[in-house]
Amino acid sequence: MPSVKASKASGSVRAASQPYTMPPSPPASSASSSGSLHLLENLSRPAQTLYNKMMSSMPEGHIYTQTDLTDLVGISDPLKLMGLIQENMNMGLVRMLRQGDDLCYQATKKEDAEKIQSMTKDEAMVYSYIEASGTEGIWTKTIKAKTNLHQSVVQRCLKSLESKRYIKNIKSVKYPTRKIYMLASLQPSIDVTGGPWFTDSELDTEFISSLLSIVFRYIMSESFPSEDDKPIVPIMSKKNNRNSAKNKKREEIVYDQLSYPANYDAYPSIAQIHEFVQTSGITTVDLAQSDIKALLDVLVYDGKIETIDHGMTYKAILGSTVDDQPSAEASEFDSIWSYGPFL
Amino acid sequence: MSQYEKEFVILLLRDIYGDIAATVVDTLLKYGRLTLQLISRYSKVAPSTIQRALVPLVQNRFVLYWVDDNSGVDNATYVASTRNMYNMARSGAFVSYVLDRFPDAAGAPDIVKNLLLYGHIRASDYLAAQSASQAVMSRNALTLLLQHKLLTTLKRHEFNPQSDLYMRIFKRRLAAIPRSKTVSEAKREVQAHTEAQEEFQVLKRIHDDINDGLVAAANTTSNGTYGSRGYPLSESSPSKTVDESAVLALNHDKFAVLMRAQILVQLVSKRIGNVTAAVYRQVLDCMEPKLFRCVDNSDKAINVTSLEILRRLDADIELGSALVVQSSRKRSRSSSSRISKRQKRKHYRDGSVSGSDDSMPGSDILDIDSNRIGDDKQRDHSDNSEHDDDDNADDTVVTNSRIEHLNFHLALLSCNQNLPFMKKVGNKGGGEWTIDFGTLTARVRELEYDKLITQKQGPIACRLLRIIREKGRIDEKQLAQIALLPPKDIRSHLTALHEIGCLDLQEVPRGTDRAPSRTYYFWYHKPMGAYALMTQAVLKTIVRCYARVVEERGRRPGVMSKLLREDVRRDEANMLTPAEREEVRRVRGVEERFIAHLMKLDRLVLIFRDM
Repeated sequence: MPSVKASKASGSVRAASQPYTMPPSPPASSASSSGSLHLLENLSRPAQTLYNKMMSSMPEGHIYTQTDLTDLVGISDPLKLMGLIQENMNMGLVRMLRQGDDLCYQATKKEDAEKIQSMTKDEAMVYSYIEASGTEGIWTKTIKAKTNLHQSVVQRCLKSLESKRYIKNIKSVKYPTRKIYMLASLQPSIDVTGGPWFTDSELDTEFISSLLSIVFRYIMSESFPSEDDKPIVPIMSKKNNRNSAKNKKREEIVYDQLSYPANYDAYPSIAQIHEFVQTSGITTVDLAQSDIKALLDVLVYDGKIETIDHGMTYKAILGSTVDDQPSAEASEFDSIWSYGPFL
Repeated sequence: MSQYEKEFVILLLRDIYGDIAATVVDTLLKYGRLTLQLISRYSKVAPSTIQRALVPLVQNRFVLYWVDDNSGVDNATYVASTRNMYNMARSGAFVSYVLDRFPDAAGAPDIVKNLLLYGHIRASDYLAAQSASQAVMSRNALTLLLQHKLLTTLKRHEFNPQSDLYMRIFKRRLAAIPRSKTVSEAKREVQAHTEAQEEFQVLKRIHDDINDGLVAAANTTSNGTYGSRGYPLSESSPSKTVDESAVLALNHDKFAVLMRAQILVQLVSKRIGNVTAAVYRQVLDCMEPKLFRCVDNSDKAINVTSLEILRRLDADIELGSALVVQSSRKRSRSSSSRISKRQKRKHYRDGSVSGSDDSMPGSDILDIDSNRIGDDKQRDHSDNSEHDDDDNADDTVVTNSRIEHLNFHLALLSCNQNLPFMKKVGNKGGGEWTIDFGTLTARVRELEYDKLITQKQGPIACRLLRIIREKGRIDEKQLAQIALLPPKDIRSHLTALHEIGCLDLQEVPRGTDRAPSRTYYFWYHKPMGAYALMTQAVLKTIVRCYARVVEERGRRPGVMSKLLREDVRRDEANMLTPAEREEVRRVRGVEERFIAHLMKLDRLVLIFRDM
């Protein structure tokens, strides 16, 4: 898909060629339907036809070249066509875009057009940049640089747009100090929010650690047979008696081992762990499989689980513990170092 | 050779051999290779005193000597060998190992103790010093220890430094290659080096022969049947006995191998379970006769077969106890999307348990029909006479299921790619196995290092270290992303790890200006360097521990010197007053704790340096 962006040209065209005085329209929210009708009424009939055809023939947001439009309305005279397009553009119903070296056109929804029509010139310009930034959002400084407006004007525009709920202020994980705006109707992208691990643009360590421990417990429960899985016991008691004298010096083996065979293939996979996390209702945050993979990677790096089958499935490591409390072994080591310097 | 290792051996020497020996070694370590006159000059001790001190040092090979071919005996030079002195620290472990391993060989611990004292002993001298009944016992013990390679014979050249030996061989080889106009001098040297290295390698492995220090017994005395694990020593035939003319010494290389085996078995027991650990111990036991030292062992891979392991395995060990049968709980849970997989698994688990099909790919042994096993057993009868009474003909069924169970454990040991305890290399004899010690010990070192870092720097630091180890070089931003930690939190951990030499930082400038803001900073981990620094830290701790022991004794000079009296030694209970006894008890308690710590620390030295 070729990169299409609302070009600066389109913005300046609209801004410069607005001979139309702003209708003293009420706020968009209160009268959107009547406003849009009003907008269309201001158009000539062929211009209305052009707009309606642009909206209906293709899915919303489709980009038309001039030839497409010629075919659409059957007007071959470019001047006449341009006139119709200009009429629409004046109303903010059609936007001009640049794709490579060609100019193309995009119909906007009546409601959106109405919104823009209701704004002042400056607000419309600021809004157009915020809209163009999409889900990434745009920094106030960038707006100022691009619009060439005075700081206070930009501030005023942003304030009024925000109060109308057209735009919203978001926090970016990457740049926590910047004031970034985006359209109110959009969800910030993962780059901005940092994904599911971030709450209010801060890494939610508690959430992560609780998920880690839950996932680990789940893998642990699937990795080792439980006491219910009865061992096969071929007890050879008579042999025990016979050899006991010979081996009395050897330490006794405690028979507490229960293992799945080496080729056991039902260790949990990422998909299963994902399903477990989703269905268990631990969290309302929507986690993708890649997020679960990130969690599992951390557990691997913590030395609590290991990958089996070339990373397809996961198995808990015997002797690893859920929490990071120092184990008995830890205290043993501590005492080693407590008697001498260590690095 | 590090500062702390030097400090430690000097402390040890001062404690055991006295001040002059310690001074001599200290001088040698400080100045390197010296003649007697130079030692005397630097240490300001009279030459005759030094000569007397040198005798036990040379006997124990703590100090190696070298007499150049062209100069007289007067010009002998001396070099201290820290490694040989460090081995003193393992003497306690050596004795206790021998006690554990050969509970039936009564003379064995005494032999080890004597060898620790004298360094080396001629077998005939040792036997002559004992009464007739003791001598028989000692002879058997000596034979046993030699068969297990815990003792080794000593040749004259082993009192010389290796570098000198090598240069002598090299010079001889070089002289043997004729000069010619067509061959350049550099090429000659390279060829001589290659040849010399080969010859030197042979020299180093001179004691690897199975009958080293043993001769055929004159009569059929019943030695060689001391296998404490319930099997005879089939490697060397029982009709061998100790060669009385041989000079014997302790084999610390072999001891390191045995200690390594213990560490590995402990790890298996922790990672997999006790029963598998018992099996693994047996696997290592089977390989042990062919393992002479930890690194630089013989060139060919060492393989063992399942049947060989099974033959030696204690019949007491219930291999089947660790196996799992299908559970009703799991079946009821299989209602989710996992159902098909679960059922498939259950299906073949049923199969493998009953031994009726061959769906266990890890253990092809199930394919082997009983005839084949029977054949093998027949063949084994010839070279293995004692074990056979365990395997009656009607036991074939038991053995069959037992070998299945054994293969279950062996498969468990070999299945983990992250920690490959062993590897399957063939299907001969019910499955042929080998251990890649290089990979395994590297992994063990990693685990041990991680454990230490976790203890000392916390689990977060360990997580970061593991990520860095896997990714190679990584910058802080990515590191934070992978570790799911806030970037500002990890900085302190990274610098702490940097401080102890675990991590290093590489700067990669993005432009030519090398501005800090336009520079990538990559963290990376160099294992060898990090381990070496860790070893130094451990050695430093060892030094402090031992210094503390010496200090504790020094604080109570009265009672300690009284303890040294012969009559007090013989009858401590009556010769000491109650107050003195209490004091001795307290000192010994403290001593014991420090020595125990020392042993734990020595285990780390073994893992990081000697394994």
